[in-house]
Amino acid sequence: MRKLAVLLFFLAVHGVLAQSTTLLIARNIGKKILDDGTEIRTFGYATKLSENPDIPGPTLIYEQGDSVTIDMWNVSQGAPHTIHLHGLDVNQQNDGVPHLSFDVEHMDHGFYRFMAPHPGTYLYHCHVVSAIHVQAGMYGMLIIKPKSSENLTWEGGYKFSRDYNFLLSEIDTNWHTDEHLLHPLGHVKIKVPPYNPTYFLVNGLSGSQLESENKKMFQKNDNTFLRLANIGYYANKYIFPSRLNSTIISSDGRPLPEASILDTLTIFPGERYGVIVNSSNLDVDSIKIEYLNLNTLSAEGTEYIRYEVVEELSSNTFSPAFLQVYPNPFTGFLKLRNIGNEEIRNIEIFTLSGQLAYEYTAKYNSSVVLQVGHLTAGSYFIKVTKESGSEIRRKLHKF
Amino acid sequence: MKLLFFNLILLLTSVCVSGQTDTLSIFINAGQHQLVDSATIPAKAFNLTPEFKLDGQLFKFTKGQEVIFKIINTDTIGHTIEIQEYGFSTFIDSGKLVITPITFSSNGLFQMCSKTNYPQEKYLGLSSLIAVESNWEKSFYWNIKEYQSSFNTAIQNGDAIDFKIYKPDYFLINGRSNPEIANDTLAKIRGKVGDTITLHILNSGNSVHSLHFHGYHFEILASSRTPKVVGWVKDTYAVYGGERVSLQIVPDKPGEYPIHDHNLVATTANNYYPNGMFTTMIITE
Repeated sequence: MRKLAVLLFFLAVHGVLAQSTTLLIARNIGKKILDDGTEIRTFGYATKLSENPDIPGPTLIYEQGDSVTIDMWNVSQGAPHTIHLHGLDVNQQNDGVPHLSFDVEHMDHGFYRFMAPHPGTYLYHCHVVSAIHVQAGMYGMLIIKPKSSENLTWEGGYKFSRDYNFLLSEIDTNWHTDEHLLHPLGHVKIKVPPYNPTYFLVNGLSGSQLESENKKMFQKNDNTFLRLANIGYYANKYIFPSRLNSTIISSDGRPLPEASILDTLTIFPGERYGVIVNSSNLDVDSIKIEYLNLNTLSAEGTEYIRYEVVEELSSNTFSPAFLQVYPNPFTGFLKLRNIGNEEIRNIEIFTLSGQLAYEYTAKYNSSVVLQVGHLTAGSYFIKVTKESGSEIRRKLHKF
Repeated sequence: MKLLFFNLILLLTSVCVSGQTDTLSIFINAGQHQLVDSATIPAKAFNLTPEFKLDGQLFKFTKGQEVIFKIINTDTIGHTIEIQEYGFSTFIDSGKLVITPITFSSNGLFQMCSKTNYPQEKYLGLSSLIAVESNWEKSFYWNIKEYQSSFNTAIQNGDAIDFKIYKPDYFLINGRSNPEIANDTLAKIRGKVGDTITLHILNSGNSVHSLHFHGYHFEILASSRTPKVVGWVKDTYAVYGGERVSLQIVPDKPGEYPIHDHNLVATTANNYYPNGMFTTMIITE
């Protein structure tokens, strides 16, 4: 028994039995500016009290086998909230359905625990009056990566050099009025308005907001992994240019028995798909997405994800898209994954007042784990400097 | 008087069994269906008696079974009844009876529906699941559909409807919405850890319903829409109008877990939450 305890301690210390705790603060006071400047009230999950809860919520990333605790703190001054771990097949207690598990009242904490199972793409969302709270913005993507390599879809799966996540939804501004958001509490029927969305979102952005984002960069003859998820109430029909050789490889956190190359893929509410794109042509184009009304299957909205296929993602393409830093918020460690081609020279973490709190100077090509458990709780900036001297900065939060 | 006439037909036909061939009386009935909020709408159904009841009437057979269908039409219009995969098609005039044999030669899920004024009569409820299988244990059956209540009234009144502007307000499993679905033993999944549970679904409506399962992934055993998905393991599956699909669940833990349409508008009834396509499965040790 003592040997087992020693072994478990050894494994825990060396990160084999990684434990990860994430704080999500449920808020009812979010604001979102839509493509045409319209401001709406939202609900959402934030990582600190001073933060506007954005749509979607933060992407949560864990490793397969991690022992995960999500601490949901409800600071809503209103309705109870929960977190449903969509697709993770957790037990009833952690399922986030209020009348079957528990709900979390204003100023209470709710703890959701699970062992990260199959690598894949999942969702989290509130399950209290879910028709309203999900539309209000209480959702995000949850990703589980395989333990052996971050550049694998799953153990023995597809290798990829870079990846992008797309979480799609819609907005009907009529649902974002106090009349509907501030619904009665308790076991009563809740009135919802007819659903007529007019804004169609990709990662919370639409129209010119989406167009102003950087193009997604693909390297010629190289695998890029796309994680696609739908948390809206319409279907998302992706139309891929055939030159991308888009291969559907997984769905709902499981590999498909047979991968298939498809030019169109329709993703329905709650579904997730994994797609590998690999083009042998230099190209500048867009992936088209039609938002289909589920009652008529007619397209009522269209958005485009712009991309460019380049010969080689050189050092000049060292953009924020080529650096992943997770988990954020973090506790004991931070992982950095460099998917650009240029080495990184230096990593520094500063407090918000500019004081250097941590420095890492060794070069690396792909990924590194920083042991940062000693940092005091709070917000930080991480500055990553590459060989040529250019920098990337990210804001992080330590619990 | 009319009901007495049809009951007499039922009495006469139900005893007509010749050799190994079974006789099944199927009534085409019209009536008023009561919804979860006590509103009523005009609807139609296949039933085993002359009494109208919209409850997702299931017809179960075994492979190779020969059956004589005695279809009695109590409706005010004639109906062409079809089971497409069996090449079965017969017209029954209003107030008439048709006797016709059918042999169920292969296992699977099939749809029996009215092709009259298609899809209007099917939409009203003349669409039932036919399940041909050898093992009935731990199998559950859902006939899912949705109604736009104003369409039901319009069809009854002979007014035109346009499915291009379809906006349903009620969402049903075997004719019921949450929480009444829990009272339907065909629909309410109950099992034990380690059981092999099969859920057979017919979407007899017009909308696509994206069903999400809490607690467990399922394996897709069959789909009438596309064989491509057979063998996929998922937690959410979108069932198209007219599609039949069989999903297998092997629970690995006890608990009560929801199954619901993840188009969350469909978890409402007449714009009230939570009265739509939502139920739970209960798994014990």
